[in-house]
Amino acid sequence: MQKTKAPVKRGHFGAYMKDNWQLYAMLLIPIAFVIIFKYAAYPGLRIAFMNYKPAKGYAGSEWVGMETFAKIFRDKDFLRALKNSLVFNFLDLLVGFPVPIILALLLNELRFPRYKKVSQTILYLPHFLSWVIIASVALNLFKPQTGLVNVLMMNAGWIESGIPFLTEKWHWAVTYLLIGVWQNMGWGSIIYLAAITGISPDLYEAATIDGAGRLRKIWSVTLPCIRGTMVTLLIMNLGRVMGSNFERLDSFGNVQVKDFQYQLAIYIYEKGLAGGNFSRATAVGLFQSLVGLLLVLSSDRVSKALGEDGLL
Amino acid sequence: MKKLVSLFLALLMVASLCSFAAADVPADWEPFAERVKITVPVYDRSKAGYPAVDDNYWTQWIQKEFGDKYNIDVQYVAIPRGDVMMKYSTLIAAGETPTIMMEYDYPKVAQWANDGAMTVINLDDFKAVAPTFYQAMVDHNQLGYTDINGETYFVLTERPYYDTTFAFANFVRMDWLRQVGYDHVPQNYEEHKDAMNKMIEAGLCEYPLGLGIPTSPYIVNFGYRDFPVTEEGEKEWAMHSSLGTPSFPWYPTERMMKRLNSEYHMGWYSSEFDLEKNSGGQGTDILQTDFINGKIYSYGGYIATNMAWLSAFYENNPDAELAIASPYAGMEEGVNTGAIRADNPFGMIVGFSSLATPEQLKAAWMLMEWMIQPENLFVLENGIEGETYELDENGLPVMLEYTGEHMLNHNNNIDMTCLVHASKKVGTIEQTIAQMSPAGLPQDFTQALIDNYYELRKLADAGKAYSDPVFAVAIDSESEYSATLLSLWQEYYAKLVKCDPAEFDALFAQYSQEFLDAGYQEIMDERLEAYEAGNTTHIPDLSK
Repeated sequence: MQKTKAPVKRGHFGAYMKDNWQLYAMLLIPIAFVIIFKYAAYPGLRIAFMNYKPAKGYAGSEWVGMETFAKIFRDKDFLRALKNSLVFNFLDLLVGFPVPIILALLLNELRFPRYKKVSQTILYLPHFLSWVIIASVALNLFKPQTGLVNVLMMNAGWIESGIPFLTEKWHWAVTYLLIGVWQNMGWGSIIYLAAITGISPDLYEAATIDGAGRLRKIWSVTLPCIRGTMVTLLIMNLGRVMGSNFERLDSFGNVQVKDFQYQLAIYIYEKGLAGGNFSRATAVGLFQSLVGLLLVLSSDRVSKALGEDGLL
Repeated sequence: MKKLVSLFLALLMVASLCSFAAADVPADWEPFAERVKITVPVYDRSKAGYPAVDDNYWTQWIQKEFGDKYNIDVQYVAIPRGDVMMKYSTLIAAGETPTIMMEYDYPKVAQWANDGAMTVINLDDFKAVAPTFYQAMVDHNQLGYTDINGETYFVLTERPYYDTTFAFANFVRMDWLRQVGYDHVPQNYEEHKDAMNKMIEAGLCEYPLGLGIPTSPYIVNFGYRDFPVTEEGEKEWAMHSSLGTPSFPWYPTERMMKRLNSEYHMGWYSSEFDLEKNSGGQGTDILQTDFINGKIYSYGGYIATNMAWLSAFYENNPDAELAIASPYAGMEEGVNTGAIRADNPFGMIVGFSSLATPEQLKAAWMLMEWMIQPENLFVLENGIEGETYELDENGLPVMLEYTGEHMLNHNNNIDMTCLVHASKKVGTIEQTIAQMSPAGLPQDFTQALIDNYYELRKLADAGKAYSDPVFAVAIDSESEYSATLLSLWQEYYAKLVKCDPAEFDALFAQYSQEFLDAGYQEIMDERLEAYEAGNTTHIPDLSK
């Protein structure tokens, strides 16, 4: 294999940096982001163990130990929010995890390059729309009486009265989850497409010689080759099972579906931030992070036990 | 004769301006030896077409006319109108508490004082720096509202004509009323109901009224309360009546919701109303859009010279005729007495940062004293003659449509001048209304608004306009639970409006219990304790 640049001498860090300083400079931005927004906030976690009053600051606020946590776990609204978050995040994972894989496999099979590119762009686009915009479009499409979808179906005589996509909790749950899948599937497929690109063409050639058709090649070559990527992403997604996206929930929420929409992000906003109770908001946030970490670590263990590479 | 009256009024105006000119800031004010920086909050209402609230010609004008003269750096801090507490909390947490902290609602300032964000002040010191401001507080009987938890924290601004709600008007489709046989706006609920049902029958609209999920905890249930208020009734008033927490499990709310439920089932509201939020005339919402598009019968808002939504309405409905709704339209024997909520007898409740140095405190008080001087206030509220306003034959300012560099911000810079009073005041009530009345429209509402004021005045004089209790102690449970209770109120509101009328009573009882368990019982108990300890105001007529 021919190399375009002379190899840098091992241990000669200065020369290496000199050669690639632009790349390292670029790396500084994400590193700074992580340090400032992920690590620099750590000292603020003490708020969870205090009766924190902004005007009194850290020094003047009273230490209350685990009292805030005890209060939260006794609060039936928290338990409702926790249950809803877990159920919806698992459903999100269940419905949302396989779709990008299937989509990547389909895109990979497209042979006409321009069609493939246009399809990919169209599929990526929703990822760049904010939830507020998606929700307002959804509202106009799915309103029970005046939404476009219901109006068309009523005019066609398929239904007598509008389907309450957004105003009845079970219908809302399905609408909410499917729109989530629609928004993420294109973007989620990028990593799988990249993994598929890395598969050696020799394997496909060998499969063709053995008489494998398209579906057999997908099943026996593509899927096994991207299994590592799938496991890594699954572990990362499991870490988010305790997460909660306020923007998405708030944009899609309305008073008729509060039973399901009331999830941890809403709880944190309503009972924490809006009421000026930063201690409660931080305590719930800390709880979410710790459970998320636990889930990542345990699923990493499980995947290693099953012979996969894992994440860590 | 008319000319003579005009001449007399003009002379009166000149004389009063001369007497204003005689008043001035105290002569012993000296510029500070070292530059003093103060920060002043200003509401940001995110309204299109207006200059930035914290940096515009008028903030710079204050700096030039006041700040530079006394070596004070006056900086404005934008406070999003819909997220006041969150913004203040962020500023406080960052150690950037504005020197001046102000709000219209007592529970909010009480919370800041209670949490240590505000400093205790000495009213004698304040009087020495700001004698005109102090005297205005004395004249408006406001000294009883300056303390909380036994300490003095606040000074208060004026709210002109606070016991009437004349600045808010409901505009209704008079042309529709005429089409269904009315030559006047409905004067009681029977007429109102009849007119609404006839409008639906006549096919004038799909549904005549707009409804949305409430965005504020204030429940407009004064009309549904028994009148006159007994001593026992006053106790209930102290426990429930509030702008800060929805008074849900209370009989007036039950009466109100029952009426809304029956109206919904008569087809007065959109069946999709629960997907919309009602900003209560404070911003752009779907109800406003429906009114502009000629889809609903009424819409209300605060009156001002320039009312974009009214102009848009006439553009879309050039043949329409509007009228001001009667304050008696909801009255019904045994259900609604027509009582209204009077405002607090003060506008902004102003406190000062606990981080402020004595110099900053003095500079803030100087700004208030400077701004209350009529010549300064006049310029801030009217702008520049010939550009933003012109004087009428009575020597009173008439606002012009102007959008240049010297443009005044929302409602004649009210979010800056609220440091002095809650609304612009010019001479008599008739003159005040005349200069506030919407201009440049096919119809002139000045006389209708004046008539409306006098009808409201009658209600106030009959004791039917009263406000909520003001507590001299902080109600801790209110700050703990109010956000949760607002959210529950929004949920119950939609469900109770839409439910089967046969199920209403059972549902209301069930939700009331849930509401009490979610923290409202604690709030009621704490308020009652404060009331019984003499730590609240009273309903004026009862205390006489």
